[in-house]
Amino acid sequence: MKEKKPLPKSFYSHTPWDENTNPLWPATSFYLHRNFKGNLFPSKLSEAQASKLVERLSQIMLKLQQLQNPICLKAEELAPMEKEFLYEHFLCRETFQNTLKGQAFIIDDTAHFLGLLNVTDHLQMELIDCKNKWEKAWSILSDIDTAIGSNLEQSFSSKFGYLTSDPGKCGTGLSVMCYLHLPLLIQSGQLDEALDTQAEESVMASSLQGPPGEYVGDFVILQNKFTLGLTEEMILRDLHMSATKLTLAEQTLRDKCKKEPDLKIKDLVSRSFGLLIHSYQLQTKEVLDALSKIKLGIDLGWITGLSDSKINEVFFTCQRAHIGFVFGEESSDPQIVSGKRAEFIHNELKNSKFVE
Amino acid sequence: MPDRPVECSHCKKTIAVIYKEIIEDVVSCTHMCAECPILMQKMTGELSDTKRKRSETEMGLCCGSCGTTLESIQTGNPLGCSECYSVFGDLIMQELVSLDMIPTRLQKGLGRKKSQPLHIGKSPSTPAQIPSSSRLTALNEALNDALKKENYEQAAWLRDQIKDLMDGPNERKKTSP
Repeated sequence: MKEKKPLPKSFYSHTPWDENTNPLWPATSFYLHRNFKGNLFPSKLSEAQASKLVERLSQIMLKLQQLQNPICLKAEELAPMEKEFLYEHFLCRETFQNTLKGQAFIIDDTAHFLGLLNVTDHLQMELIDCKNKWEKAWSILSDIDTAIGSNLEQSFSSKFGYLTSDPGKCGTGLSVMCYLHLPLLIQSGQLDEALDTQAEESVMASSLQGPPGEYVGDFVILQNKFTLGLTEEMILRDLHMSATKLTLAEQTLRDKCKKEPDLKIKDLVSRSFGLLIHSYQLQTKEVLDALSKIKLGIDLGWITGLSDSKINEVFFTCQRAHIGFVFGEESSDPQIVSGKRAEFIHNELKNSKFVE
Repeated sequence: MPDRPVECSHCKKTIAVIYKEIIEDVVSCTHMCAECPILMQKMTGELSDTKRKRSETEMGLCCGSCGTTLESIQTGNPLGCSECYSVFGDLIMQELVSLDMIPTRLQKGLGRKKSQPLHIGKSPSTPAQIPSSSRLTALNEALNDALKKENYEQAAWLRDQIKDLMDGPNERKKTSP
């Protein structure tokens, strides 16, 4: 990669889930969508109008005390690989490759905050919490929202709440995603039943990518179905309750597996270990699926010499732009990237051992 | 992870159909939602009856402030401005109800003439605060559930979590002057 990087060093030295201590629930991301009165929404803004709004918003946000040394990165100043790095770091749903002049990103030294300016809404904020400190995370986001709102009037109606360019986000404009690692519920075919019985009506499940029901890396993302018609407190309470119940169901299966090891599961973990150790070409999806079993193997005591936080780190670093940074070279050739990914994984897993 | 689209290529809703089209030697593959108007057009050459009737009656509806059209919204394009919520308010509400994006208890009241005001969360003038009791309620519910199922290991773990949460503010009180 190029020597000069506009992203803060913390983005390269830490991955977002580094500080997590709960292997079943590595993180929660909080999102707030806001637009500002007197401006067309981003899809209708001219480049000049969008750039003016970016200037105004960044002026306000760069002074916020809740952010640590915030910086504003304009879309036109970022290289494609840097945009992809941000996309991977924040596990975003939509790529930033199409972002242009008049759009920008605000990040800070914590590497847990992302402000998207004029991408879907005038402002979309994301805050990652990996310590299960919801009140703190929500309080930071809410304080930032209030501070911005006191400088720029937000688009709001009493019926639809905060007005967003996607009507499915209007109301509170709050989306919350809980990342749950539930391999045993998925492998035992009990996930659907658990979702039916344990999750609230206001909660839905999705996956990291791909069609519904295919949970890449055995990650189930619980998120709020409604943004309109509920208070922020109700949204957070229902989600927390559902996520807690699902992780407990997974924990019950793990406890059982610790007492009486299931050969089918042990075989899955062992095969995944072998795949990662011995492959010379690895795709992201197969790495994520295999890492999931390694993560489970560590928790069950079947794999030694490797920590859960290391797997969390590898989970992010095995993605294309991160791999480019690790090896100091950018490549869009899938074969080269797959090879580098396998080399990286060999290196990370070299001191680990599967216990018979 | 940009390998596969998560949403309908046209409407940005959840994928339900993978539509493959073969024209001469070229195979194109599009991911679509079940109700995608583009899919309907591709399959039948026209919009569905209900959609067509709606289109006919609402043809020409357009936001005077940003120029966003009804057709544009129906194909999943974003709204163009705050005014769109006034112009297309009824349609937006119908769409949210059909997509099950409004809590069931509130859906019943929407058909009435004097429907209740919908937004329930905070407003710009009243900042939201999430008390720690919110998480406490969630943990207590889970604890009751664990006890009902006689899962005492889980119950013990939940009790610890509740205790930690309740001790938190006290510890801060102890250390504060």
